[in-house]
Amino acid sequence: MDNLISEKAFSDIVKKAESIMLQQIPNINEQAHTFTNEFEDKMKLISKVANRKMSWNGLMRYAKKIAIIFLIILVTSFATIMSVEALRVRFFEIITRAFEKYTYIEFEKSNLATADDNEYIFYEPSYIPKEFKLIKHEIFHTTAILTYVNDYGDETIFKQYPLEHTKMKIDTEGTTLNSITIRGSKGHYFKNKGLTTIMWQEKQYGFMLSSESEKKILIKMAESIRINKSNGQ
Amino acid sequence: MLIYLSLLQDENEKNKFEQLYIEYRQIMFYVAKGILKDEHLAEDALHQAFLKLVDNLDKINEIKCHKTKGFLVVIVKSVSLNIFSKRKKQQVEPIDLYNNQIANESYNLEDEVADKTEHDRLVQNILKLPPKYSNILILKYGHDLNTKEIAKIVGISGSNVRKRIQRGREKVLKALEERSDQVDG
Repeated sequence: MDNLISEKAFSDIVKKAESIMLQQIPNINEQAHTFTNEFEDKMKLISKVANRKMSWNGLMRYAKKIAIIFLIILVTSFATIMSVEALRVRFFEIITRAFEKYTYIEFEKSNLATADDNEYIFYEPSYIPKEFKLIKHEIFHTTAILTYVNDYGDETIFKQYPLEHTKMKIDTEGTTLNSITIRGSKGHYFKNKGLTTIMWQEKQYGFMLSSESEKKILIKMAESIRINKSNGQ
Repeated sequence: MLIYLSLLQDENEKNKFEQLYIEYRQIMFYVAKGILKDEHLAEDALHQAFLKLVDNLDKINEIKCHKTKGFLVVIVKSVSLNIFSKRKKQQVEPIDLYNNQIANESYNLEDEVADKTEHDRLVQNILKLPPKYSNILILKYGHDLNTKEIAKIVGISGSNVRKRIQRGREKVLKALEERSDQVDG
């Protein structure tokens, strides 16, 4: 039965129906009802709670953004470094010099082949678990981020980035980095704070998939990548 | 710098709840009273609805807009129907319903006007759905809420939300299916 109409068309119909429902509500005078003092007191309390919550959410929102930027830098650089033997040695040297749990590493410009923007090709997974839908497709110069979400709000994020970065920050607390092979290329996966992340590289590109989903699903998605038809458009 | 920016934004956000309350309390009260037929119960419904709104303030971008109005109305309708349903179980008294929507649970397609377009018929089907289905369809398709968020607002489990979405869709699309069968036949 659901095949009779697309999601988009059904959504339009629901919105139209909602609009009609709202039109059926008459214009209400601001003085139409005088609320009891007890009610007004309760609302003042809720208002205070709401203000506190918004302040907290605001800070958390920015903290989240900082964390995401941090993670992108981390993963991008990490994949690069782990892929080059000379840098890998240097990487481990720096870890021992830095902190036990957190490591900040800054490299000189490496001699890695950089991606030519004119030839930069974007990829996407051709296999997506059926309960997931693409909700966001973002391109930041040469970094692409595709966000998929299921009905429960669980996110799966696919990232593609050029292997040309020379800085990285890594949260190394409580994680175990494991080796993995994706599409014949060497990669890594780790699980941290409930999120499974797979990273691998092909040619001049680094890829990352991160989700609460099982590792085998992420591997299936990783193995299925193909050239994105829209290719950055 | 980021913290400074977050504080600036917070000041704007802080007043959001008060602005929403002032802008929509009378409409929400009207909707609640239409369902519950009792001013005290309607105030209770508003109180609960605004409590739920606190958890969903981030979904509201503009105060005075059609979408925000629809979102608040559907929240207060859901809360009022829950209150109504609980009181009904307690056999308090028969209460008329807002827009008689609950009473229209069994919708007869023959009532439709013959010359309506297919699109209009589907819209009418949604309008005639019991609100326990239409509210959820509106939250999902009109406001892009996920199952978890809808479950929290409506006060039912996630699996029940999915079942109602499925059943709601089936009821709305019934006309299309029958038409399709006729063509096939």
